[in-house]
Amino acid sequence: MPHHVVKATFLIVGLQWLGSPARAQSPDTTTSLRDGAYTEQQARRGERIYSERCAECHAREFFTETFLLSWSGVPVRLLFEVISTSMPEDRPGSLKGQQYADVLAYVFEMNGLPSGSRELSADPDRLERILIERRQ
Amino acid sequence: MVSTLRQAIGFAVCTLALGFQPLQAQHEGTANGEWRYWGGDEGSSRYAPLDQIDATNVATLEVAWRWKAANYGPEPDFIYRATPLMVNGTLYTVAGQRRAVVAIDPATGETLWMWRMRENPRWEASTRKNYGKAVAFAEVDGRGVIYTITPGYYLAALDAETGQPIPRFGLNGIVDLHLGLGDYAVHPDSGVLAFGDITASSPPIVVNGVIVVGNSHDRGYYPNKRENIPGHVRGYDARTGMLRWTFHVVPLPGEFGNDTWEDDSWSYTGNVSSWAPLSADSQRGLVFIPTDTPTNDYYGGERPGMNLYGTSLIALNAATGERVWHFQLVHHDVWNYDNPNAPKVVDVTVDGRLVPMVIETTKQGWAYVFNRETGEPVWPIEERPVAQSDLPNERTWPTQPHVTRPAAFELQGITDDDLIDFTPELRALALELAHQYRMGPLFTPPSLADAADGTKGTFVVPGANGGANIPGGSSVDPETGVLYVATERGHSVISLVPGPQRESTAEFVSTGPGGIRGPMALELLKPPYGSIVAIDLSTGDHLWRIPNGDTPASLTNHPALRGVELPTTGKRSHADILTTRSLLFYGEGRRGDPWLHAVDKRSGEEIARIALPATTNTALMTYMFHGTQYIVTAVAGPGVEAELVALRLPQ
Repeated sequence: MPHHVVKATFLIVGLQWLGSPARAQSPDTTTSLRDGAYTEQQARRGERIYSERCAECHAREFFTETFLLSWSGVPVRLLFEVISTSMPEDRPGSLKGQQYADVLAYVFEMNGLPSGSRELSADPDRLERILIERRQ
Repeated sequence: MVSTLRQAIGFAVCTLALGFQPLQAQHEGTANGEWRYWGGDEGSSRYAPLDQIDATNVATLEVAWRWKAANYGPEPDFIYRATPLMVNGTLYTVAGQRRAVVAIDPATGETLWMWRMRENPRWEASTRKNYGKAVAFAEVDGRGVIYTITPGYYLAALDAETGQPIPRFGLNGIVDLHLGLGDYAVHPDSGVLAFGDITASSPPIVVNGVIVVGNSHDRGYYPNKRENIPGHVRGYDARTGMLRWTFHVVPLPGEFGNDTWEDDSWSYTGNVSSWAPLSADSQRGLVFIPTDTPTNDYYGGERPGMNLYGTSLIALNAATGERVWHFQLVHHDVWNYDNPNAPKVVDVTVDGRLVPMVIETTKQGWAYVFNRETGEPVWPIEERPVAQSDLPNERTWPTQPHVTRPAAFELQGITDDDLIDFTPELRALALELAHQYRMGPLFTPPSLADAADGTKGTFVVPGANGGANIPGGSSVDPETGVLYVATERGHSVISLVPGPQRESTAEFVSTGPGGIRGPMALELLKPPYGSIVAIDLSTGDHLWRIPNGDTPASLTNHPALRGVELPTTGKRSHADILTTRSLLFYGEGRRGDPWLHAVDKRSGEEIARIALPATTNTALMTYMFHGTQYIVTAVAGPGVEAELVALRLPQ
């Protein structure tokens, strides 16, 4: 018996990066990566994951040259969505959400962004409120 | 030097007397409603002359069955690049990290049998676990045989009815493809290669009783050494598994082309694999081999010379492995322009003469069209001077072949005009970003991450993911002589650093194949980001171009683009295409939306779109079974485990 295609249901599954409408940002709750959005311990976890799962294709230089300039002005959520749905290339989506956040912590550290007292979370709502900005 | 210069002029033809006879058009897509090869037919047309599903009813397509691949491996996959075969009323495909071979009922999706090889630790060491694109089929002594290459690089022959290995083939159905590769050390306990790597990511192809086996390697963006195993092509007896011949893609001393590897670089350079699927013309006894870049994708200073047969299209006599002709598409390749697509075999009338063609669609944005009997380009391919490298010890080749017709189907090279200009602010930022790297035309050579002129690397446009590429690639319609190419506007930025900086003994390696994003995480280049281009092979003219789907939500919802009128950009993703008698079907590919589009193949006009459970991941296929036409696609995506989806009209 044929299954009838339910378009709406399927489309929700297929959300792409930046696919969900940009949420309204309230200025008083938005923080910057410059304020310290990850912990040093988290960056060390991220470094281990990076060397095992990312370094095969991405040298550190890939993330440190003009990376921040490209991503400046957008919330961390977008970057998180891109890497968590497309990477690693041969096994996309195969890391846990927190592992992707740990990798991002390491990438931010590579870029000279300061660590802080609170870990970077994998929660999209919280990531939405952290803005990527170039170093000053 | 004289001989290599002569080769540089263009095509090189080896005049082996194969006794070619004038032939009528034989390559007409799939036959009898079957889909016997990865690409439909042996010429990889991806064309089926079926028309039960047409413009009047395609909008009513519904899901007939879904087949879950998730349990055919140690853990579910979220990527699935396999295309089933349909032969004698059964579907055959591969699934999962161990590349399990499965037979499936074409009407219901029921699994009929499964076979997989227990091959740890060769499997553990494989650099291509999840890339089996399909199996191969042949009839031997009146019985169907399925051939597969495992991730650990074994060739297996299975009874198509039962899935059981065929005892008389190799050793109980298995041939170890490490054997005969050359004098490479192997760990005595594990059987894993102690030096270099080689495996396969595509099926073999069977031509007149010979199984032609290609291969694949790990990524070559920044190898840990300049040395690797060359991807020699081999032919095996389809009945016994005995090795019939070996063709050296890096020629040995005394063989044609060895002198294109200066300073003895032939003796240690590897890769030059044929990782894309192969195609054949069994009537002419030819197999067509598209090859990869030699070791170290972006630095050739340790392999001086033209480097035959790197980045070439080679026509071999399938019975003997002898070279009939070859054409090197890129000399001394340092752009990673390895050939990504199965060559297309088709007969088309040009200027009143029926031309037996073979076509390679490429990352660099050109379709190279040859007479497949002689290797002569159908339209001139001209050697033109190109920019030269300023890297230590790198001697890039002074000229490169430039296709004069058909026109390129993708943007080639980069100038300021190619950068986004949606708003003045975005434009300014895009210029600031791009000007930190070297920009130039196609074949601008890679440069250092800290070059003396202050630049951080060089744009390669199209880049590693651009142009035509791995998934769907292209389809050719033998009834109309139209080529359809799926292309993506991708670029790379190649920055080279000393090898030791990346734990490599190679002199220089790249920092990766990636490009850079534009400002606010937008694309750096102007749209269209993904397209399907129709090219008339009788004239070389482009007929139409359509975007790969709609403008993505990432653009329409982008805060920096509010109020900006956007064109339909398509997705930056390779469309997965299939052509039938009146329709062209395409899925948007992994970075697209989960639609199957049906298009009037004459005009490119969209007729219908059908929702899928997830985005298509690779080339589609179609077949007739018990009077019903089915379209099958592999889908997977974020949070959606790999599966096959079969569509048909309401019953």
